[in-house]
Amino acid sequence: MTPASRNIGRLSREFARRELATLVGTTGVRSAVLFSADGFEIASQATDSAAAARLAAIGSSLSALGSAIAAEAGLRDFERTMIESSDGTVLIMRVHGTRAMSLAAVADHGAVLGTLLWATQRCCEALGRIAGE
Amino acid sequence: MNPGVQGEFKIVFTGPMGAGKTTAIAALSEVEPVRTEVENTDRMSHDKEFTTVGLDMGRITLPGGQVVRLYGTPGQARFRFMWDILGRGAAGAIILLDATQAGVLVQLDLFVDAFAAHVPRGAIVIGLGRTHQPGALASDAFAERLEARGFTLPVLSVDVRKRRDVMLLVETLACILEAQTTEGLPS
Amino acid sequence: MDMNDVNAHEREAIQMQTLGIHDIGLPVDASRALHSMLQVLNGRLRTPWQTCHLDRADVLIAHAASDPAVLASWSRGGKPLVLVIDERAPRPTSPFVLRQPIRVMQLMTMLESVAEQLASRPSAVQPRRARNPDSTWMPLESLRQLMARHGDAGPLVATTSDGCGVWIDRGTAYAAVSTLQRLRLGELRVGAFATGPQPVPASAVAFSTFDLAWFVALKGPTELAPWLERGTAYRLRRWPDFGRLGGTSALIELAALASAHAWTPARLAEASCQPIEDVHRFLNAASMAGLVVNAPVTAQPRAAAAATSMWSRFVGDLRRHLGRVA
Repeated sequence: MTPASRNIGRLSREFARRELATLVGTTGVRSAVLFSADGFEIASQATDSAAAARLAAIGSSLSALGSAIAAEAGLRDFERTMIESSDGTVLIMRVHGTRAMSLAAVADHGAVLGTLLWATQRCCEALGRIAGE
Repeated sequence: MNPGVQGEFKIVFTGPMGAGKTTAIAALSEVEPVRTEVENTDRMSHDKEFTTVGLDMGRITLPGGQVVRLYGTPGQARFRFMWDILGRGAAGAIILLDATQAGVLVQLDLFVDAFAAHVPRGAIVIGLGRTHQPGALASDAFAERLEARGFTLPVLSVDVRKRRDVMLLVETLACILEAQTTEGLPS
Repeated sequence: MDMNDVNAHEREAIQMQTLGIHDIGLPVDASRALHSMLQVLNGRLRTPWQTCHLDRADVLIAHAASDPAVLASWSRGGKPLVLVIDERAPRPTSPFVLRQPIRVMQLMTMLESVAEQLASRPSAVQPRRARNPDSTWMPLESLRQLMARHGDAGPLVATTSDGCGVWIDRGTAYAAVSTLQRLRLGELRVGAFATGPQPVPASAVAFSTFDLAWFVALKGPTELAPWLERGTAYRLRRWPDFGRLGGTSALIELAALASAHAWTPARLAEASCQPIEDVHRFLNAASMAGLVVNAPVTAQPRAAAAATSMWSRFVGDLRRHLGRVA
């Protein structure tokens, strides 16, 4: 058993992969990785598995930094952060559930921002519902 | 790296998970340190509840007005990108190791190589914890390993829960930086 | 003198200086690796080395688990012995130790310091006696000779300035916890070692004879030790573990300077702005603990910069902040 697989709780890896596949089906979304708060990949839809593992680690650092900066500003829990580059977007969003997890979605310039936000939010809710049951 | 120009410089605390980086920074910082600890799900690597995944940051303001920023890195190799981000422009690095951990000499090589690339020559101090526990490797083995690889770096047996011991590490690092100026080396 | 004469001169000098080396007890691959490293290193070392028969060797490289009879007979000859130990084995108390797997840098430093020791002896066969017969050197000289015997000496005892005992038995030092604590704080002097009536008490804690050597020399004579030279530049090959040995700010400063560069004792005193007596004690202690190598005197670093450097101001400020008193 890998350390991360313990982290899923009742959320099955297969279910997570299906939800991520739906998200990657959204126009412009290239890949998606679900990861634990300490940076382990739990499930992913990505062509490059090494890149998915790195994205999980960096994503967890960004989530943690997001929480730290929110706390510093006197705000409550971290919900999401968005990295916008000249040719795409990385969206990192918290999954509410029994265990701390986040989702990273990578999109190219073909994605519509509103759609990306909505689709990722929907994916996180689905993952969180199952994880929280 | 010149402390006088900006009046601010940074020291990086690094080393594998569970070596005491967050503890060491908390022992020295004059403000409540910024922490990015989350639940540790990898209890096989280290049995502790929380682990740093972003950075720790503490601060010391010296009587002369200079500010020393103390940064802590995550310990696991998958956070290597944070080592490079935090190492860049650092005045020096303090590597904390656990003398009882299996493969600790390999960890020594890994962190020395990662941070020697960022800090001025020789500006690395190794703090070795849990040296009194059974199965601990003596600091001599670390010093010899460094010597065999052509490094002359201090390896100091410390307990980072004691403020005095953390101060010893920082003071030693400062003396190394001072000695380099004495040599007239570019820093 | 023309070029041919110079070359002939040099050849002769080299032939005279070539040192013989023999190895026993090493695994076949380690022995083979050692021989090829020697070939690679020759020409890069100040003294050329050649493998030869045991009888003609100046230095013996032996695995720590080699036949004790051979090791004992070798050490009676007073020539240097280099012990090879396994990767995780504890470090024995002999001055020359190579840890497996042997690395080129490690071997190079080792051979240079062995050659220096051989060169500093009036005869390679006669164990060296102190130049200064003054009894103030007795504690250090007795300890130094014990350490060179790589742990075959039975229980010996010395008395501290507060009347307690310090023991050495088979290469390990023993003392009461309180005595060790006071040694660490630099509060005790230690006398010469001799066979004593009392065995090592059960309550005594074990510690390294290198640590003991460090403590004894730091509180020893304020002159440069007879085996060190005023005109030679010294550099630290390894740092003392100040966490374990205890260290004042002054000692940390000396170690930082001496690890960055080789210094003659006088220049080190100048650069550190510390009394020459303290520098002598530091160098004596570091050499007793096996931490020092001589290095060729290159251009000596500029010492005057120290007082004005930003870092020394920083160190001063930091110390004030941390509450450590120099």
